[in-house]
Amino acid sequence: MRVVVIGSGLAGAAAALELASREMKVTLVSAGVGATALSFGSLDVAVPSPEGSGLPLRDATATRLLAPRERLAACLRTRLRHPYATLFGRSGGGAAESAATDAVKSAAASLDRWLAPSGLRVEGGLDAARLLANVHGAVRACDFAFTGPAEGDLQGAAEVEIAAVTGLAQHDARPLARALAAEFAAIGLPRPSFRVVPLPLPAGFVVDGGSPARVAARTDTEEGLRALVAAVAARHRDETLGRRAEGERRLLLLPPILGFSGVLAKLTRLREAAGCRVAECLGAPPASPAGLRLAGALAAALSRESVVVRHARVRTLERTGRQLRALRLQSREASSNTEERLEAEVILLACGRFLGGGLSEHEGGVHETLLDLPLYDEAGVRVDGSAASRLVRASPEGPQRLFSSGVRTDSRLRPLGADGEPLFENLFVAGDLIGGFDPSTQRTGLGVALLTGLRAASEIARLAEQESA
Amino acid sequence: MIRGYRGFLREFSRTGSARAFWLQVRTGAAHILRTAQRSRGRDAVALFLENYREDGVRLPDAARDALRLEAQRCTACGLCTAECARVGGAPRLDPMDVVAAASRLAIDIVRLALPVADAACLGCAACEAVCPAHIPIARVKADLGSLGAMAQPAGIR
Amino acid sequence: MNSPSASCPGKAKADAACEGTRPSGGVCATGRWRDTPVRRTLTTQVLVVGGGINGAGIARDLALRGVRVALVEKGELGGGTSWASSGMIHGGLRYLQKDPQVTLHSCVDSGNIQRIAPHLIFRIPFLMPVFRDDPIGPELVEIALEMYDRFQPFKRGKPHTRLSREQALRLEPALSPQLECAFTLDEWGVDAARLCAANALDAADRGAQVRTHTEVISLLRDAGRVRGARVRDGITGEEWEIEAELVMNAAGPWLPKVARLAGLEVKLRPGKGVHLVFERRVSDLAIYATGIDGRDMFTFPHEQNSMAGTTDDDFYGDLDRMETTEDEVAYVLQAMERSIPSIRRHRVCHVTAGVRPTLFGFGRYEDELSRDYQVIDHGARDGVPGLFTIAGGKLAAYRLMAEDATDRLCARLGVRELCRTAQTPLPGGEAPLDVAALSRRFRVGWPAALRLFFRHGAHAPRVLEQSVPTPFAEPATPVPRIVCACEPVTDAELVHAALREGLRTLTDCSLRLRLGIGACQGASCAAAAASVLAEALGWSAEQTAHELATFLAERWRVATPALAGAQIAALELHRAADVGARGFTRGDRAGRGSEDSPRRSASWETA
Repeated sequence: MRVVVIGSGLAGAAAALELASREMKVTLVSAGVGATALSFGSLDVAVPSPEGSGLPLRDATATRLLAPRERLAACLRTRLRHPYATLFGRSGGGAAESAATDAVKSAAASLDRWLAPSGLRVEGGLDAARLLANVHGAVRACDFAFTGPAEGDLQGAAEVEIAAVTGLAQHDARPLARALAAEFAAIGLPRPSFRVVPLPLPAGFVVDGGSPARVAARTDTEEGLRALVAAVAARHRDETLGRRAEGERRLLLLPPILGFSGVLAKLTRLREAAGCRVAECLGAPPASPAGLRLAGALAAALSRESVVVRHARVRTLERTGRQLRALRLQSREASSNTEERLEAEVILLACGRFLGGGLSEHEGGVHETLLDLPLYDEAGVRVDGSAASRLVRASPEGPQRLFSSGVRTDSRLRPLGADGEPLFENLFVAGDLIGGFDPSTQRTGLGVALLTGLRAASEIARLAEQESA
Repeated sequence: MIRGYRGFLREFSRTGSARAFWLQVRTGAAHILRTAQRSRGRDAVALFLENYREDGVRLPDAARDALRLEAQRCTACGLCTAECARVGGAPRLDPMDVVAAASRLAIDIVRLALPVADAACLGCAACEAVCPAHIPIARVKADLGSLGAMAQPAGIR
Repeated sequence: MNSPSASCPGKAKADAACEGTRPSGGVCATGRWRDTPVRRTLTTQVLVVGGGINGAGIARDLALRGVRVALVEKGELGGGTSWASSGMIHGGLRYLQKDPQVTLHSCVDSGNIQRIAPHLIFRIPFLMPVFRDDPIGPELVEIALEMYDRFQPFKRGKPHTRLSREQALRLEPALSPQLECAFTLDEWGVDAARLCAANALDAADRGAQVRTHTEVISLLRDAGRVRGARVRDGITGEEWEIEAELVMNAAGPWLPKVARLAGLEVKLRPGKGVHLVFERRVSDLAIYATGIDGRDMFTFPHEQNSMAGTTDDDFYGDLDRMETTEDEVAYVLQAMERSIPSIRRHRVCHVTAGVRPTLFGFGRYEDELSRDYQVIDHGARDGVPGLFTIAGGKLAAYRLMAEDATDRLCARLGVRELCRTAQTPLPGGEAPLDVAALSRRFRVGWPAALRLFFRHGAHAPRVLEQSVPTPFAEPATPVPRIVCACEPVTDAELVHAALREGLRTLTDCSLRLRLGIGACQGASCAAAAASVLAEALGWSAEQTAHELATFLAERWRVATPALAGAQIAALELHRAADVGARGFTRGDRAGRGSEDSPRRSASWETA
């Protein structure tokens, strides 16, 4: 059965890889990158709070942070239009929670397996969140994280050394240190000692203007990496810094300059040189290497699994009644404007929201770009056709309908029309394009992408089995 | 011709002072005389462009305007810069600068296009491939280059 | 440690004071801003209330005449009305009918402002299309422009040209093909907030005490006489008193409120004006458009963007919580469509909204109200000596208004000096600058060097020397880092503004330095800028987080009214950046889910 996945972010790529592992023929059409390439190093599956938006999660009675497992359970209980409710059911008690927990575990394992050859691992679990620092000193409780930031769990560190790189833009070590100290005061957990240490990189390592991306690219070269390792080793041997904790209890936090590939190997060398844990900060806009690393590792995995990837933009989809038949593509490889026709028996839409182009606005208001599928917000109110400015509030606080809207699906991840019935028999949806949650405030963008991508793949596989039977 | 003077009575009645009255009469009379003598074929556009030459105002170019409309989708996400760095495209040119430079017309672009366009760039268009907004960055840069060829490295007024 | 405090002793003091405690307002001992550790009382000759263009202009004029002056502004310099203006130093074409003397003075003064601040000014060629159904015929329009041509030389303006329909469409293809013919005329534009700041900075250079985020809460009276004011610092919460022989109320739309503190009534008819700010320049030309109610508006270039506007509506709401409505956005876009049918394809990044302090007039439409100004001596008018008010006017006439007001204040003070504001250059306007050399010397890209020149003029090298000597700097000359890519803004500018221009909050940077007003609306630059300022001003982590939250909320607030098309993706990223910056410190504070948008000069509580 010819399956075409539209979108090469985490949702589309995960679905394509899962289908490929089940020996199905998959073509993935990618117009470019979207939110996945703009991710910053963590993969969250469980919302930070059931009530507020963006509140870090703390047990109301205890002083410890809630485990991801508990937050996931809270999400299932309270967010009835979240895609998780679609995936795992809304039943209280154990059934939904254990289904969700199992799905998360196997999803993380699969993703780890796919990314590992590119030097990117998925670390974390549902039992305890990792407290990771971002490049501006905010601490985030992450369920999973990728190699690079993942090693930077601030819990269990007695000393945290923040590397200061001369002339690096978007990174100021001292305010970072102060921010981290304040964060821990707010969290109420035992506080490591934070200090800033210089990282003497050779002249010219940081280009004029201080672009961190250029420095990251430098460490992708052997010469650049050697310079970084040498600088780290020099700091380790620096007697003037006094007596320091050893091994796991000390953490060296680097700015996001660990390059775009092969992070695992780099970190090994750095750890050796530093004599302690080494990690990278989580990134922040503008793009940090973590997102491109993930995108690159997914692309490498797709290539290894022999998924056919077409770099093209989908112009329209051809349909006959309730069946989609083919896609009309405009290739990015060719410079001409010729359209190409690609036949498909099953289509998976994983185009993301506004950043990825799955949602857009024209004179008729907000709409789903390819098929005008009806869009619904978190309360289940239909929003397509409304002007974008009416779907946001003047204050960024609180829910924003524009950014929690998307396609509504049935339990098999098929998009539903206004009548509550699937619009097409052979169309599935995965990732941020599904509505009912806000990827930013609920921090589950990548989690939803991964889980819905894998579920869509298994639904498609089931459909294939039924058809062949 | 008479239509050209429509609204005359209403506007004239709003004259606020004697000085204004005389100024209008004098200028109006001179204008009528001049219009009678005006030779057709004087190229007002050339005159305009000459007036504003040192400010860098130039005739719009449909292709350039289309490119600029595309460039305005930029969200300053920085992926172009990151990707350019990743593939080792141009050590001294930030693709975001290219997109931003396309936003300035006239006054800045004359002074900006030359150094931006001159900066060494592989032309690999990796930035363009990675841009989530599908901005044709390579084409934008090429366009700046063509502008730069016309620009003088000016001092500032 | 080689932090900025090494070069700035006052900063070291602030640093020491602020470890773990509230900072004390961060005023530097060296440089221009006098170190006034907040004392109980400051004594001066004139207290100017309001740091908009009029207040700053008056303070500068007074300082140039050797008068001791204090200027207090409750928000950021120019942050009331001035920043929201169209930013044009125009010659008053519309007054030709009423009184050509006004036009003459406006054009002469426009020439003056060019002379004193050439780096802040940019030329705007206007294009006036005439449509068949316009009430005024093209010949009349041309006569008006021919009259105006006589005044253009006073401001180095170009004469008009007359374009046929084909010629106009060749010059600007985006114009509506319905036009009959078109005319061009010449005006000058300016960055109003920067002009305001330049005036205030010059005043401070010459001995004035300038404090932002300082609000007058009561006037000191002495048996009917006004002898000063009690002020409160909005950031630190401290209150102190300023004793002055004369108080000049230049608070713009807030001036009735200040006048009421003395029990006086000054009637204004506040007129709200909004602009839509596009992400880039739509055209080199400013294009006239007519609203559905016959009002003239334009889409005009402004710095690196274009703006469309403006409106003029009686305003009865809260001056501190002005919102731009859907109606206003739709009204402006509808008008623009008549002249530029494709205007909706252009991306609007944010909107500006401000209120004009128009003199009161009953029974007329807002546009027909006089743009005249008045300097009121309350001693003569109301029997309350010691208080003056300046009301009405327009941005383009600020220097003349300031001269007139200062003349009257000096007459009262017995100061005989003459006005020199038309001849003395504003800071940065003294000489031209070789931008290429600047770019090479400081290793900063051309785009950044150009913007530095446009903001700081000849002082740009001095600004760049403020590049943060990052800790453990190896090279002797620190190289500026780009903080905001859209503008661009370097870290040196931020540090300079903090240490030498008295900048106090992150939100002020969007006015003073145009930080975060471009494509990303702060998503990519706000956090980095906050860190740089935190280092320079000695902010605690809590204050940094609060500044960042306030800044991003303000950018959100102005980006949402005209949200459409490509801007949505930018706001999606903005939201992710805002939330991503929230750790536990901000999360706890911000999670109250308040409906209200934060005020620009809100005080903050300690953690």
